[in-house]
Amino acid sequence: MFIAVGTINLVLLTLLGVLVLQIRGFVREAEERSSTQREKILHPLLNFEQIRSIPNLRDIEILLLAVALLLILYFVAIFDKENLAEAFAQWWVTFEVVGTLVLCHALLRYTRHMVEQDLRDWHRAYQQTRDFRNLRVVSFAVVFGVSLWLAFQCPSLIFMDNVDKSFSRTEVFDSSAEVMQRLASDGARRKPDKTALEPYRAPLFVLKSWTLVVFGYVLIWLLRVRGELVTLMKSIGVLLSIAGVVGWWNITFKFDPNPANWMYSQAWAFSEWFHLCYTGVFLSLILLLFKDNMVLLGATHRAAQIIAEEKKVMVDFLVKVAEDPIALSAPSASRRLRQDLDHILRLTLDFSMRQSDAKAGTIYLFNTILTGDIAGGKSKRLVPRVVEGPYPPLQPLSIDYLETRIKYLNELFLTETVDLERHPFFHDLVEKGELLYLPTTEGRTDIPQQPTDFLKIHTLIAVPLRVQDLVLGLLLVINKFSEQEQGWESFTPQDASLLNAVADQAAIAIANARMHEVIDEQERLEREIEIARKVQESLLPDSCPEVPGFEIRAFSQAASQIGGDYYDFVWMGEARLAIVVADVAGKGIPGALTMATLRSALRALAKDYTSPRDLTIALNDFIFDDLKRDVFISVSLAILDLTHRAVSLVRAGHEPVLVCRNGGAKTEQVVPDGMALGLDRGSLFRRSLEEFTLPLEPGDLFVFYTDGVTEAMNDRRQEFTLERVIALLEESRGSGDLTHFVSRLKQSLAAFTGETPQHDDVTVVTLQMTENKSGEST
Amino acid sequence: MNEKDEGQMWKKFEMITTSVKAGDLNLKKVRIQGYLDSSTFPQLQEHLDNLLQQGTNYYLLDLEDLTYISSAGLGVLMGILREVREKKGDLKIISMSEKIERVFSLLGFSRLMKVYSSEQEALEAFLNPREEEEEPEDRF
Repeated sequence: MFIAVGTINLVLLTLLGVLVLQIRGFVREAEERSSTQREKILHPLLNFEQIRSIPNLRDIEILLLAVALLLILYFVAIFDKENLAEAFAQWWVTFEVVGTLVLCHALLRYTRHMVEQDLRDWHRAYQQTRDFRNLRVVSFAVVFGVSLWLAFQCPSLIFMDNVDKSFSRTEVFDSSAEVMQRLASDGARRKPDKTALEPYRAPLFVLKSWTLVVFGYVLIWLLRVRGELVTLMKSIGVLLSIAGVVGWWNITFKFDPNPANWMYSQAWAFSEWFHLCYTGVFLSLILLLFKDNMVLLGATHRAAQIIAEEKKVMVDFLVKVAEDPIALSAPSASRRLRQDLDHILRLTLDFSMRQSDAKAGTIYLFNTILTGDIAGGKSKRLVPRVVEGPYPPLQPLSIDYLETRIKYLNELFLTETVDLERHPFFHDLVEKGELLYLPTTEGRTDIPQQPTDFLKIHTLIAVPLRVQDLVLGLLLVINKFSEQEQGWESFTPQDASLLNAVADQAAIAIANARMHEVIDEQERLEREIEIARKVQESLLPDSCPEVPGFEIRAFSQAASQIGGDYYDFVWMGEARLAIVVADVAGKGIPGALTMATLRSALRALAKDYTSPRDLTIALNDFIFDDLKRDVFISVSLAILDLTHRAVSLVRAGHEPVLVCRNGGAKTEQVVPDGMALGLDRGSLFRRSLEEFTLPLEPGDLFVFYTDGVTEAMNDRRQEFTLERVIALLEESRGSGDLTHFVSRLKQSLAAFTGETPQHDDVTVVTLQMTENKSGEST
Repeated sequence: MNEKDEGQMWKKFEMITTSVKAGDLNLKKVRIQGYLDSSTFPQLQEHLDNLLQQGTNYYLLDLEDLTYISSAGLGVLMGILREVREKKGDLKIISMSEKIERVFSLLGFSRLMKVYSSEQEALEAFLNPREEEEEPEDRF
């Protein structure tokens, strides 16, 4: 029968090795997926990336495998046909010792990592942060495990030591059975005779271990344990306590009052009990790890699917908006007009150069004209828009550059904007606003010249492009080439007056084109705002959820300049409702898309979490890479737990949450620590995020709002302020009606701001517990 | 006309940039005054982008006279902070009004950018950077 036990255990060990290999495969696959498709491992608890970053922990899997192999070899080595039971018993003890050491090693690694992390920020960790609690639980688990091992393994070891010298395993049983039999026949103790069960001992042992494993596994599953190592430790604690009960029952049952056999019967019972729980715990751990990886992959896959769907909806929507006839006409018009401006400039330059036989020419426009900021400041610069022929760049060129083709010279030239302060030649031209005609440039030191003849300016006409008093830019032509004489000659006064006329016409055309462009740009902006507003509207919930015993109200008003307020209600199962109020720092379409991403991520992730802190951390992990570097999101996330009648909330950089307790004297501002999403990817965000939980009583009221409410401005640039909101809230409290408060706030805001245009979105979400159970309150 | 003038006045926004001597660091002190919102943030963005292009990687922002900062303004600061940290530079803040400080601490910005009470203190911190300062984790 011991052969049976040995075989089964060998098979189990082999299976264990296979499982470990399987897990490695899954983890590797998950890692690859996360790196290629950026589908993060959504499981935040058993975060393999994090655990794997702990030095050497990765090796533990390999170590386990090696140990398993070694143990098999060891068993072969001590294989003894004569005394199989003894050989197996010896092997089993070795297995236990080695296994326990490996397990303790892993635990100590993890603990040390936690300690190091905490020591870095010890004073903060003491504020009951999660990491610190983890540390304590893990340390406790380690100490508990080690002391258990010492307590139970040692007697077993001592006992085995004795067995080697004087007893065989079966003898112990026999003597114990003999004693029992004797005691039973003596009638001194009415204990049932167990010797009849002896042949079934081994199968029973295996059966018991496996029952325990299955029981533990079901228990853990019922507790919805999610792979976190700490939670695992807790579960193992639970398992050990159950095993403890079984063990004590075993010990009491097998207690042999005869002092001669007392120690052996006790030690044997201890040992057997320990085998039982050890096998149970070890196998549960392996099974859990395996299951969690499956859950992990499932969650990743599901979330990716949901997000893909949401994104598809968004893209469809944007495509539809783009196909709108009004939306369609404008961009093409804009393209045509922009081409118009360049076209006009090119025509003007071509015509001027042909009329004057100039070899090179260029047109500059002021940057202020191009950006539409006509009034401009001091930073007016001339930007070259078109150039033709070998026009010399302003910067001194090296000799090799001079050999290059005109195309490259022109490309270089177009990159050189002219700062008027630094170029007196251009400054004077613009100041005077008159045509400059230079038959020869000799004696003019203010004209920037290149050393080679090829790029020397010999003669020049410069005409400011003017509309009334406003100088839009400059037209310059240089170097007249005479075909007959095959040499340089000067521009004539006729050339100059001709160019003056051309410039007048061109200036008007440029101003017109530019004006169209400005108008078009405004239209484009308005359209963008309109699209973003539609997106934003489509993202907000249509109505507030109906929750028995609670009243939820929301009010949101977008500013003319589209902002990024977002609120949402997401059911997490039947008994939990997540309430989210967020402010995306980003306007227009990018802001609206960020909001859409947040919404998708929230909906995809919400089901997998129960704590708002974990959910928020997962949200940050998820959207961090999608955010532009100057975009962040402040979020208040509260989870209303209907079963426990409690609200737990986090504040990731958002405004405080206002809480009115029933019977409390005044409104409290709840400001747990936390940073906005998108500011930090990892530990800083985690460390700073605090969760706040409050048991609910009837009448309790929560108000979530965005800064658009408190910073609403009137025409004297006074802000609405939080004090006004609180005052209103306290006034309305008596009525016990939330609709009352929300509508009064709406009125009050409108009265306060008056005609002043709203500059930021305004969002208010309120939650009140109305009664304990229906019919109970009055 | 009067109302409009008043409106213009409180919208006033200005930046004053001065070079500060701090060892061999290329350090610029930028004093931001007035109202940093969605209409004025492009000015700051352009200004800081220019400074960045010129190779300034150390910034001292004086926010004492900043009367209002919108999320767009904070976005500019965030973007610049990331950029200078990527270039192994840094950005520190000296003195800000209570209101701005509240915004910073609510959003968690105060964890990313250290606020010093005096210019002297900030300069010393620039010259003797300490390791324990919290760095955002954003290695792209």
